[in-house]
Amino acid sequence: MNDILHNPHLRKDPFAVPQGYFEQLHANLASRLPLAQAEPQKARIVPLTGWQRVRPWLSAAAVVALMAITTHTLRSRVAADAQYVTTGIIAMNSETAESDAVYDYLMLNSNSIYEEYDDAN
Amino acid sequence: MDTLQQRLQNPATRAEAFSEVVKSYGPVLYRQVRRLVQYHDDADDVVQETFMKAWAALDSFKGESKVSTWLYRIGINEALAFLSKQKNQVSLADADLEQSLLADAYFDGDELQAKLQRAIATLPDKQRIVFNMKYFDEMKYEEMSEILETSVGALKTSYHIAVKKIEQFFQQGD
Repeated sequence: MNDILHNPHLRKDPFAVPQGYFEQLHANLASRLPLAQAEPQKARIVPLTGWQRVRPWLSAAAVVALMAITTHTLRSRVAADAQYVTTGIIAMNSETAESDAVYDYLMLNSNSIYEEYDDAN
Repeated sequence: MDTLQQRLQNPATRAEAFSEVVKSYGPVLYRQVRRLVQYHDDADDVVQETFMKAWAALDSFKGESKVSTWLYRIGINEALAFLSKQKNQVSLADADLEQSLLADAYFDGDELQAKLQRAIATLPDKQRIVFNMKYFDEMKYEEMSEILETSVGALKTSYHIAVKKIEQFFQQGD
């Protein structure tokens, strides 16, 4: 019987494993060790509503509109101020009764101006 | 180091990685242990103890060997410790072993296979391990050498002697 071990039947594994053993093994170990048990929760994909899709675009449009309005307002004021200054200068040159209002605007009084001129001269 | 080794060494990912180790290597570990201790309940005890010890030893696992090699080494040592304890109580080489196996609900083999298991049980522990790994798992000597930390030459000799003893066992017709 020197070739007994060549019998392929003997190479077969004769040991049976109880059904579900390896799952139970993991569960037993998980109760004794801090093993990861649950499958990680997959992110839930929630479809967007119509309003939710549109809202970001509306928000962006509102920001742009606000910027446009602010820019226009600033330009208008600057233009108005510039015209006012121009008007003031014209008034100064023409020595009209509105010159005091112009000086106020320019934070100057007439005496200071004349004093300045006097010094210059 | 492979990704699994790194994840085992990282405390943040250790638990999940070890869970994968149990699922991936548990079946093969069980088979190796079961062939040594022969009964399912004993194999279950040894396998659980192996994983408990592996978990406790993770901090000292340097990643110099594969996870499977490291784990099987622990399993073999645990199985040998179990057999050593058992030898003080029962001799697995007894003639009753064949009948006991054939009556076991988790032994699917026939009389010839039961006799082979008794023949294997007569071998010294190391020879049993080498024989099982080579004969049933057809493991390469180089891999066995890593697990058992024994030279390939010594393993080949051990297997050769084991084969001769088993053949003599069958020739004696006992």
